[in-house]
Amino acid sequence: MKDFLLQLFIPHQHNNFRAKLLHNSTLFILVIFIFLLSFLFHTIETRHPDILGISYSITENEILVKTNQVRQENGLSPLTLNAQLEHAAEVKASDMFYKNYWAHFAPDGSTTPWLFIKNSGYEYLYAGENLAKGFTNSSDIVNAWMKSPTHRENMLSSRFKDVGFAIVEGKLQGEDTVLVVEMFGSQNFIPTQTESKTTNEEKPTNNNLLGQSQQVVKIPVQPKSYITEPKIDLALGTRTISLIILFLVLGAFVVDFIFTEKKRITRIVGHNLDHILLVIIFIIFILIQKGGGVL
Amino acid sequence: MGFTHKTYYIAESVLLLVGFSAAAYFSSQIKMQIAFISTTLVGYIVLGVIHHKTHHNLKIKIVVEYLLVALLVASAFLFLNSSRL
Repeated sequence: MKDFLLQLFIPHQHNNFRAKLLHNSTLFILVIFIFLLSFLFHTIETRHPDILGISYSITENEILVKTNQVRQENGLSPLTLNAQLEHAAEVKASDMFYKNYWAHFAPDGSTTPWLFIKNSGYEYLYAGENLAKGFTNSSDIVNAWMKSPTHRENMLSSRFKDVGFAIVEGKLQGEDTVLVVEMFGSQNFIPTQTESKTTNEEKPTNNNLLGQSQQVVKIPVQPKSYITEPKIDLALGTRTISLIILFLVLGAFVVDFIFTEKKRITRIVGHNLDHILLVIIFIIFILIQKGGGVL
Repeated sequence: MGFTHKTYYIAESVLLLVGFSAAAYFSSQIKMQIAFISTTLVGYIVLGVIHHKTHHNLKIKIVVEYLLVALLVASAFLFLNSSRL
């Protein structure tokens, strides 16, 4: 075993002064192994998502609590869940999946975010929309929105009193994802001198909307969430396996680089530094990569 | 390490940093990520080949090595994102 490991990782005369792990034949086997593993994981995930799948924990309540937490930290009143805004958010999410777009405005140009709000019966004075997709938990969503100036503006707007969420899983632009739509609104806002001018609907800038206020009919809100708890978390599993393989290969390249520099051995191989640079940057990419995006 | 080596490693570092940064920026768009990573890896192989060719030590075995290391990274990326495909 010791000899096998030495041959695999340390250059010496028995492996032609190149770690066996770095031989083209071994690299080829590694590539095939990873492809087979991808196929295996994909098959298990499709057939047995309860065993192997992405672990999600996105709940309306968590997003609301965290949103209100940041509002209170900034001296603002908490938002209240509104069933009509919830409905508007759900219809918006369905529209995005059906028409396959990731934007505030549908590709036809005529389907605007406030159309969904109006159709839900919520007569808004002010309205706004935040979108998120590809996140696996509520905290990351709220944090991503808070990091983006326009989304942060919606989260911390004193104009908004109500909020509604849709958390929907589906295939968007060829990618399986969980889409979160957050609709903000205000109906009973007491306008200040400047804000009282905005009585007519105006075209929104970014994701903020302006409009006219009317009375509202209260509808009870059903809590929503998207939670999946497979026995093995696919994201964690693939990440761990990939990092182990990459660190082993990186380690072998580094040892080989030090060895050849020290012994001044000439061989017909690629430059170790090239491969070391690539693997290091790719490992950093894996470590910093967050799956989600906001709009 | 001569000037050519330095220039080459700087060019490679820039290529890899720009390519993977762009892929990280488009983290929510798998197709964009695939496009950026594929382009970066092709650039990596081409730069590697040019580097060896410049130093008159290019062999088919070396080209295969660059190809395999690039494929290793590509397969790891696809493995990591298998649930999104």
